Amino acid sequence: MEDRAKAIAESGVTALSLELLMERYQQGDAAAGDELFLQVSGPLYRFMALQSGDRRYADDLLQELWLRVHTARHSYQPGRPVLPWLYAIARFVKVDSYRKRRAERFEEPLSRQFDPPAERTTTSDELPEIDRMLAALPESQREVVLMLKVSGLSLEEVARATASSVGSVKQKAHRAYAKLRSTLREFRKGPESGTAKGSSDG
Amino acid sequence: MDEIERAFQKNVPEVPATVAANIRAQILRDTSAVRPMPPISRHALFFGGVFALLAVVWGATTGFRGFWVLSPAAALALISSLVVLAIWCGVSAARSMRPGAGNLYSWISTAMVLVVYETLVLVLFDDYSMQRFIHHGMACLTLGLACAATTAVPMLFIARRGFVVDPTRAGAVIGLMSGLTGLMALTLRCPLISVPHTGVWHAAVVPICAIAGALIGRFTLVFQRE
Repeated sequence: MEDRAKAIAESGVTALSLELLMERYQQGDAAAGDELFLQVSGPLYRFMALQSGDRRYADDLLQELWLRVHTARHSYQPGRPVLPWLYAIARFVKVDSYRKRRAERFEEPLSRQFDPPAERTTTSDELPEIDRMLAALPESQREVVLMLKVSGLSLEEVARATASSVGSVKQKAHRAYAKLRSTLREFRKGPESGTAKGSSDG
Repeated sequence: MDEIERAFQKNVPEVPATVAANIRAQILRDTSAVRPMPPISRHALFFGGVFALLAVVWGATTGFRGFWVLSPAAALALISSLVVLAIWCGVSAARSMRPGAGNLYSWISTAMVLVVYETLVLVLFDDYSMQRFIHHGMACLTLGLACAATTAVPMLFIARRGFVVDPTRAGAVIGLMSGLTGLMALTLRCPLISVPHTGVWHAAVVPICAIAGALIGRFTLVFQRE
């Protein structure tokens, strides 16, 4: 692994933009593919993990996503922004996997469908866990907030990735922030009686 | 800093080292070069070309009888509107092939085609006769669908390297494009220009093809998954 990191550093790809890395990855440059993976996997993983609320499931999703990215790398058009392309694929992988999971759940015995959720703990005295805050949001608002705040995409990029307009993204983000602020206020009022209790109930 | 921003920057998950190593070793190990897809404009041009070619070929089989019964104003309004809609749908189809290429508008496009066409029919035609409504209607519908089916084949061939994100939506757009070709062919070849006939049977080709395309796309997705 160290040799590989050294090879990447020597190839000079670390200084390239995501767009150039993607182009070189299409041309079969392994170092560029590795560097692209290093640069975008963190935000993509956070996007998957925080949206699903399950880190182990996010591991599978990330692998599935990279498999899809690799097989569909010809569909990236050189010169265009990479992030909307990647996040559009990530959204599809997430939705597709959710459908697959739901179909599998129907086939599971009823007792296994209602496994108690893993116990969550608050990691900060001041703020509730990010997963818990996001759980209060509808799916479409959650993904917009995650792309904007966690992955650092611009409004335009989120609009492209979600196949919607910038206005619609702004509206979803605005509603999501309002809901998140009210969640924070509730948490401040009484973590024991309010949000914290809700989480321990599942 | 905003409280929400602070909450988002706390305790964010990181990619587990084993997962990263797996992906790099098993997926990114393949370093074969791939040919990128052509630009959206070129695909849109191909879609437009197939639309124009097949609509004219199917219209020509009856000597453009539908075209000759139209007044010059009606012919200009109908045909130019259908061409503009075809350009819009062609661009939409080309975009739907690429992840993150922006708005796709598959169902909005279908509704728009129907609204524009029905409005034109109501404004341009004044014959409300319903003679042999079903008989003539079924013949036109069958013909329109046959034309759409022949259009879908080259369209799918053009789009074969796309469809990586949302086959259902992309299928709907290809279906819409094929249905639009069927509608154009019927406009060029059918001499019946009564409002009920054109408004129901000619227009029906578009939503039927869009829905069929979406279903085929969905089926492809399920098939790929299995």
